[in-house]
Amino acid sequence: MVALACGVLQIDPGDYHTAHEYRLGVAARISDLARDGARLIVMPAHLAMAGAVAGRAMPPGTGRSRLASLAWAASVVTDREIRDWQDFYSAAAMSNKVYLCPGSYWVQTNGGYVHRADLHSPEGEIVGFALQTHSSEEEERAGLLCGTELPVFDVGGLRVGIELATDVWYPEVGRLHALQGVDVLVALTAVPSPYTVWQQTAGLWQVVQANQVFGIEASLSGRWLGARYHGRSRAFGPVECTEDGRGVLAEITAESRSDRFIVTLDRGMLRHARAVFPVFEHFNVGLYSERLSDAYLTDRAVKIVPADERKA
Amino acid sequence: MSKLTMALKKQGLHALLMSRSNPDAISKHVKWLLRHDARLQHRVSPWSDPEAAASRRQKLRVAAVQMRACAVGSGKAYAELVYRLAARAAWEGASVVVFPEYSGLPLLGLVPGASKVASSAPSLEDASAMARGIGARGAPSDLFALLAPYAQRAYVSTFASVARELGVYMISGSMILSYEAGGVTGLQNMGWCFGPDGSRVARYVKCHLMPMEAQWDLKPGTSLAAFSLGGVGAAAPICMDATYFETFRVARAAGADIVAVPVANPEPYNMWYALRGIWPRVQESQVFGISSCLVGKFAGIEFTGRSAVVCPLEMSPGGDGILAQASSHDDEEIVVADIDLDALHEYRASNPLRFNPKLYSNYPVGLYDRARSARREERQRHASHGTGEDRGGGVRTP
Repeated sequence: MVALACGVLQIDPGDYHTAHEYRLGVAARISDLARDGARLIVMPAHLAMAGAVAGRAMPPGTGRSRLASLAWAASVVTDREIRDWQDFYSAAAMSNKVYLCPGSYWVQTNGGYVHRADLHSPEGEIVGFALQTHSSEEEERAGLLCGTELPVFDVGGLRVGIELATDVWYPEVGRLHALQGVDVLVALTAVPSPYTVWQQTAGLWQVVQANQVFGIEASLSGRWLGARYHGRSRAFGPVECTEDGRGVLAEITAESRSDRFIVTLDRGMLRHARAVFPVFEHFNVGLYSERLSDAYLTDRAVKIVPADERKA
Repeated sequence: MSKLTMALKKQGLHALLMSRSNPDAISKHVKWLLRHDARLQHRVSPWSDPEAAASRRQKLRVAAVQMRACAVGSGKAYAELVYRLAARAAWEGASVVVFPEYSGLPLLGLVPGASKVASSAPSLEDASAMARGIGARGAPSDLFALLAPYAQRAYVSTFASVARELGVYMISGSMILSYEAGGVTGLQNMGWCFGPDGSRVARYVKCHLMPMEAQWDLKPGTSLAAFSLGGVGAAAPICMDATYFETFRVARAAGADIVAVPVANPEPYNMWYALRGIWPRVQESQVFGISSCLVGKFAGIEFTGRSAVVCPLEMSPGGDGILAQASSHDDEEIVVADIDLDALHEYRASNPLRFNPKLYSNYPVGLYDRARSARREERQRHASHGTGEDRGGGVRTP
């Protein structure tokens, strides 16, 4: 049996007023999850550098725009601080013998910003990172540049891909991950309140159904940098894997801002769903070869990060 | 049975099926039905006035027909069935009427005895086997192949006549019919869009088969037809096609503002299972969706679904992406909604889809074949090991 216990840690970064508080709080919660059996621990979007900006005052007016706030955070956190925080997360992963995706962060790059998430291994190394690959017009106006690769990581015998923010609402991302053999899609999101189940369902839930993989959505909650986020982190599986057919394996409910869950992702469940309803068996590759590229002939293509910065 | 008896029986069946699928009789019957339909005596086709038609390009009333599976004994009876449902939609003001996948299934009843068989047989295979005596062998594909030339006459003449008499666009749903291309013949799940003058506007073919249909040896379509509903771009992928986001990307690129999806879900109703089709596709492609479902039991298969008119979340009054939806998943209904094309275009302008062609070009289309093979191998490997893990099921959260 190939199975992975995945823990999601949803915290409200507004609860932490200094970097020190954040380090202590997060380290304790990661240890709790590891002690309870989690082997992969995932945190929501933007949390990776939330500690670095804890207690810093934004310039007046910055908080009026959520994305301007993110750009501000990226501009005040130095390369040195980023490396320090990466070391902290690597140490947390190593001491707890877990894979850790401690959320994501905007980071300055040549000509703008990229939205990046690192994956730390139980050996205390960064095994790789993912960049956001699709952006809204607002994100682009704020300076966000997109990546052009979707790396896949081997985590405890399962193949894991990471999606960031807007990516979740573009089915191409989930499909390209699944075509590479991904079993678990980890999605780091930060969606402003108010929550609607339909917006969430149109995101990772449907990607999971279309590709018959597991989906872990770690979603930012609480008030942070002037915006309010709705939380509601969830673990999804194919509807065939759940008794009520809802496709929700675990969830944090509306009332909880800071909370956690652990869910066991058993590849046997995926095999069951794929056997009952073999979606990939009926791809019409001829149609896609001939027509799909037409869909992407657009003058609205996202701005991408310069080639020499993608591997940085 | 001697060869002569067999030949005579076959000839007799041919004559009977030709008579039962007579297009002229069907066309006349539809005219007669309209003449005797008091509701529609003074109705003017929404497409007949050029000025009104032009404004209709911005606002359309559309209808999804939720149709109960049944069998009929003649082409005229089939025309009555289709007319009755379409006329209700027309009476409610619809100018585009969409029927479900397998809307031609009632025509199996043209085969003598098949009507009774369809209601009592535990499966289509059994229904087909029970019809052996009249020429068809056991496999459903044989029954469909036997019936195809006659079914197509009745099917096409029915929808063409009803569209013409009611003066509406009709997307016929679908039926398993035969095709011939490059000297190759076979069966496909197909349908047509008929114009308000009864002309065939487009033919569409299901491009992604259900496992059951693949077993019946149906062939998937190789392209997605896009067509115009009086100036409004549209496409009609069928049922399982909507499981694949690629279908809707292609439809949108071809200019579709409306994507009609005839559906026949052969499973007990569950909202979440049903939600895997048109609803997410509409959200990610920013089109209007019309989903028309076949419901009821036929030859042991239970069809369920709640027909609906779907739109992007932000355009729906309840924020759920639904403009109108059937109240039941197992009963006949007509679902009608007004759609505003101007509003759709405004929505698209303020929420443009923004793609990453560089990313997509890094992953060649050959990955699809490789992924399919990998999953096939996984299935076979697991089946041969027989570890029983495929039972799946339980959710385990420590």
